[in-house]
Formats: sequence, structure tokens, C-alpha cells
Amino acid sequence: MNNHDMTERELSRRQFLAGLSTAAKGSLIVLSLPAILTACRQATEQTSDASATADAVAQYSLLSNELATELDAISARIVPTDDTPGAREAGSVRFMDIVLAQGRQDQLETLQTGVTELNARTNTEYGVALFSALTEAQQDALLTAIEASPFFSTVRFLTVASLFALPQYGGTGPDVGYTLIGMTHAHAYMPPFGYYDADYTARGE
Amino acid sequence: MAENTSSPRYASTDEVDFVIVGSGSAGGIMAKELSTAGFRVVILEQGPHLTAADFRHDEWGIEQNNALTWNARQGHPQTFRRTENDVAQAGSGGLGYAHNVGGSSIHYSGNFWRMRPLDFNEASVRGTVPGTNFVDWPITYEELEPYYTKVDWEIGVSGQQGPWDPPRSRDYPCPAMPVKSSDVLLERGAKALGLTAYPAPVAILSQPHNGRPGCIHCGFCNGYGCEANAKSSTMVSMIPLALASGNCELRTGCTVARVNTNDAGRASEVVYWDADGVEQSQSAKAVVLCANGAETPRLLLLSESAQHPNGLANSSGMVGKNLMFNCHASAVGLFEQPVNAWKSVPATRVIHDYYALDPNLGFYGGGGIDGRHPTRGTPMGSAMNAMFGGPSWGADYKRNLSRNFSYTAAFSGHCTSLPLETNSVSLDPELKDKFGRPALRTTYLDHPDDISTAKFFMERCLELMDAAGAIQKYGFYPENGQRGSVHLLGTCRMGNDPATSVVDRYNRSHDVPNLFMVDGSSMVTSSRGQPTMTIMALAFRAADNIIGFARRGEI
Repeated sequence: MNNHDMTERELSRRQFLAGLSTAAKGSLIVLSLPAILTACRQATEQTSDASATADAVAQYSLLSNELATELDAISARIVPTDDTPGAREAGSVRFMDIVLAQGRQDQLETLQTGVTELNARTNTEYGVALFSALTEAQQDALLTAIEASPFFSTVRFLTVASLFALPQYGGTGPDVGYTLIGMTHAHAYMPPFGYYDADYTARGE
Repeated sequence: MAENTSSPRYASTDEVDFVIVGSGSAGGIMAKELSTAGFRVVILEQGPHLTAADFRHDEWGIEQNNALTWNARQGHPQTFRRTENDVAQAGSGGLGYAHNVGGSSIHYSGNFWRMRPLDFNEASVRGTVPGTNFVDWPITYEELEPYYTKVDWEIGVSGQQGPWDPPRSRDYPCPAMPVKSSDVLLERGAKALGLTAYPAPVAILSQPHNGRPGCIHCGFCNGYGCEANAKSSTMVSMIPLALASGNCELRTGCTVARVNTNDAGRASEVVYWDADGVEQSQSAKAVVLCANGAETPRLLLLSESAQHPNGLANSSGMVGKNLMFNCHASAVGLFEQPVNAWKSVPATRVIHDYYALDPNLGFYGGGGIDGRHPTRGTPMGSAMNAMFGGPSWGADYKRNLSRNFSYTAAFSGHCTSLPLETNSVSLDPELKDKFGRPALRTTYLDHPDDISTAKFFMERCLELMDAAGAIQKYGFYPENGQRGSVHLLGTCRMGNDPATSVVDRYNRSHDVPNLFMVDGSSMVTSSRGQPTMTIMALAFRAADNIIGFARRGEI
């Protein structure tokens, strides 16, 4: 990053925050949402294109397609896609495939066994072979029943991690996660950092 | 990765003046001081020499793959047990430190509290605690003060003298960091309760100093390497000066196996595996162990011989014992407006009204409270938590993510640990690391007073949350004891009596005259939860004395 970029970024950030603190008492996050949503939509579109291409070839090094399909259905309930992107857009399953292959092969059995048991439960309770074929409400009911299990904890952990992991780990990078928490990719900030320090000096605190 | 092209290459049979094991908070300072004083120095560092360009906001790599701290994934498993009656288990706890040039000064949060005069003679002033090894230091604050000031200026500390801070001979080189919202809230709470919050000293530059830039407030501080070179690690403040001296050779990727002694009982050579795993050795006139409070005692225990059957420098039996972690407690609060505690440095205000708790409470302890982000400011860590009893998955969980990340603050108490002979670093009898060395085994159970102190601090933090206007809150402390730490203190304690301590007041081994232990291991008491400033001051002081000894032929 050169000095020119840095100055511009700091200035724009400072102007942005100065504008906000005088414009409204409201949340920085809410006010900055339109910009983030736009950026996110662009990211999502790019991601969808990339997934479409990637899906055409066998893209998993460790997971079978069958296992990947069920893990995708589960992670999509853990962080669902609604008005904002979720686990699917974050490439959660591709992330799982990569990080399991990088020295976590022992957890593959946890996932495989967990999915097999979940499908069996699906069959018993709904007469359907695959969890991924259930409605979202049915899926949520089944996941609630197993949410204390090591299997669910593992999938939940990996799904949440995938929202913030860099692209080198197989997902789409932290774009989705940062959008959800109201963070940006900026590597530099200037005061005020939040609401309470914005007029700290002026208030004489 | 850094290229070290200008440094000398010493032959292994060439008896250099000093071999320094470890290039971290203490090792970096020793290397700079000894080499710029004209001595021929070899540093052996087991990790790589990274640079700012190697550091990224890589949460998975840092937090889950232990890219800096290493563990079993990198071939360095550890075991943990509560007491000596238990069998230590792998993966159930352990000690953390960064494996790279600069050591843990790369990833620390840089809270640089000086200790106060009281810390050095508290056992006399307050009275000792039965069943513990709580004793006075053999040195005073006044003796260490010039070296604290050296840390301020040469390492780079930002701050502002507080109302009860110990006297200082020179002001801070850099002004305090700009206050964060989390600490404005801490200050509000403090005022309401009649306490005082004042600017926290940090080893992070608030403005350019010594050719390095000021902080850009990126927020990836605690646990991460600084991308801007604004965090004052020894990698950026000391190692470049050591290498520029022309006297210092830095050998990275080198893991030390043992320190050998000669017939006269003096340390003569350091045996290590080089970056290709080939065994090498380096002859030296003197050896300085700066491998940290875990690895320094481990190395001494691994250096056992017929002459030293209980390990090197261990006639007292104290090597590895009196391990102190510091204790911690926190309250997390939710606020109506964005706090954004994930930006900038971890802490910008501190409350020191509870530095030494009233003995009438019935337990020993003390510490400080600062404002922070609940999960060190990192998004992945934040999202892993379902705070305030909220759902841990699904649409509502997702909706809460931004609230939990940006609308929360933590008030954190950092407090004392008592030195106990039963808390220790030792060699695991079963498990081996990738070099075939016995794995690091930790035995630790906090003293009941430490737990009571942590609980006290959690209660104060909860009161502060209410006083600051938190709309929801919860608190926690290690009720059942801690299972690991990154504060590795007390395992080669300093003292005047060779029967009860490992190094003397100059960090010299009581047993081996040309062997020095300079790192957290020499701390006699634990500090109030922020020990690195003192570790660095002790290193500058030890270097000053060692240079004098060497010049007078007294090593």
C-alpha cells in the first residue's frame, strides 16, 4: 500500500464518519448497509459464476458429492441465505473440503457418520432418504434435535469459520462474513472508532 | 521472509562470545545489546524470520492452524495435568508462544504496565501467603526504573503517566493512543463508581518513532503480527540493530537440543538441529537462554548429564517450578450504539484502583481492569460465540452477528498468580515431539486466592458494566482453574539464595557461572497480569550487567 492510497483511505474514512456522526444518532452499521449490500451483491454474483464453473468439474478433494450435498444443506440452515448472503455464498462446503484435507482427515469420519445417521433419522421421521430433500422447516426440526451432538458442533464450527476464512482455504473469502457483521476490508481506520468516542472531547469526558 | 545478507557467518567450532537461545522479548534485546557492545553473538531461533509483509488477517491460519504459535500440528505436542497425582493428557491444555524471530512480541497485545515498587517487596509489606513461595524480589523498582525507561524509548511505548503510576525518569516517547468507545464506556463506569480510568500504556506506536510508523488501527492486534510495523516487537525494534552491528549471526529454523558443559562445569557448547534437521553445535564463551518461561526450563531439564543429574543449573530443584500464568476475568456488555471495539489496539484505558486488594478480604491478590473487544476484535472468534444466551445457528443467530460484534465491549481484569512449587513445567515421561524430545508437560492448579481474586475482578467488571449503561451483560472467570496461558513466568526464579532460586540478581545461574537465563522464567512474582514490560526491562538490565562482567573478565 503506498502513501497516496493510505491518505485517500484515511481521508475518505474520516469524512465518512464525520458525516455520519452529525447526520444521525443511528447505527453506523445500519447507515452503512446500502454500500455494503451493493458490494456484497457484486461479490455474490461473482461467486455464483465461479461456483457454476467449478460445479461442472469434480471439485472436492476429500468429500464425496453425496456427502457434500448433505453438508451444504446443513450449513445452509446454520447460516441461511435470506436478504443477505449465507453459508452457500461463502462456499462453506468447499472450505470444509480444503481444511479437512489439510491435516484434519480424522474429522471426515465424524462428518460421514453424522450425515449417515441424519439421513437415517430423516427416513424414520419423514420417509425420505436424504436430509437435503426435506423442507427447511423439517430440516430445522431435525437439526434442533441433534444440536448438542459433536457432529452438529463440528459442522457449525466449520460453517461459521468459513464465513471469515481467506480464499486460500477454499471458500469465497471473508466477504460474506464481513457483510454480516458490518465490517469492511479496510486495513486502516481513524478515530472516531465508534459512537461513544465520536464526541468524547467535545463532551469533556 | 527476511533476508539477512550482511550478518557474519561464524564457524561452529569458532568459540563466539555468546550464544543466545531465542530471539523474543528478551532474546532480541540481549542480541542487540551484546552485539552492539562489540561481542560476537549467535542467535538460535526455532522459527522463521518473518516480516510485516508475511502478516495477514488470516483468522483460520492463526487461530485454528496455530501458524505462529505451533502445536501438535507442527510436531510440538504438549500435555497438561492439574496435579502431580494426575496423568497428563495431550490436547487438554498447555502453553502458548509464537515461534518466530521476535517471539511472542510479534503477536502480543502490548499492554506495557510497569510493575510498581510494591511488586518487588510485597511479601514483606503485606506478609507472605502460607503454603506458597511468595517472596520479595532481590531487586527494587528503583534499580529497574532506568531499564523500564530504556524499554519505553528503544522498544517504543505510547502512554501517559497515570495518577498512581510509579515515578519515571523520562516521559513516554509517544502520546497515548486515541481512546476507543469501549474505553469511553469503561471511563464512564469508573467515574460513576468513584474510580479512575486513565490512558493505558502500550508497546504500539501512536506516532512515528525510531523510523517506524504509527498505528493504522486495523484491529488485528492481539494474536496477530503487525502489518504496519507499528507494534513494537523485538523483531522490528531490536533485531535490525543487532544484525546491523556486523557482530550478530541469526540462525533461524534452529531448535536447541541441549547445552553441554565441560569438565570445569561451565557451559561450553549448544547443540541444535538446523533448518534441515541436521544436528549441529556452536561453541561459546557464555550461553544466554531466552527461550521463554516454558522452553528455558525444559531445555535445562533436557540438558541433564552425569554432572547435572537433575538438569542443568538445577541444584535448587526449582527449575520449572513456581509457574505463574496470571489470572483473568471479564464482563461482556451490550450497548445501544456501535462500540466497534474491534478497531485499533486492544486497550486504551486502564483502572488501577484495585492494584493491591485489601488483606481484610481474606485473600491475596491485585490487578487492573481495561476495556476490550469480547473476542480480541477478530470476527471469526466473535461469530463462534452465541452471546447473551442467543441462538447459535439459524436466521436469528445470523441476525445477531453484527450486534454481537460491534455493539459489545468487554471489561477485563488482569490479576496476580501466586508462585507454587506444585505448578510447573516438566518433561512428559511418554509423549515425544518431532525431534524425539520429551514433550512439554504443564502441571497447574490456580491457588484459591488467585481464583478469589479473579472472581473479585469479575464482580467489579460487572458493576462497571452497569455503571457504563450496558443493556445486557454477563461475566466469567476461571472458577475451576486455568488450563493454559501465554504468560510463562517464574520457572527459573531470581533470588539471592542458591538453595531456593535458579538465577541470581543479575540473571546468572547460581550453578553455572557462564550461563544466564533471561526471560519470563526469572520473575519472582507474577506482576498484575501484564508481565512483558518487566521481562524486557530485566533483559536490558541483565545485558548491562553481563557486558560489565564480560569486559572485566568475570564470566
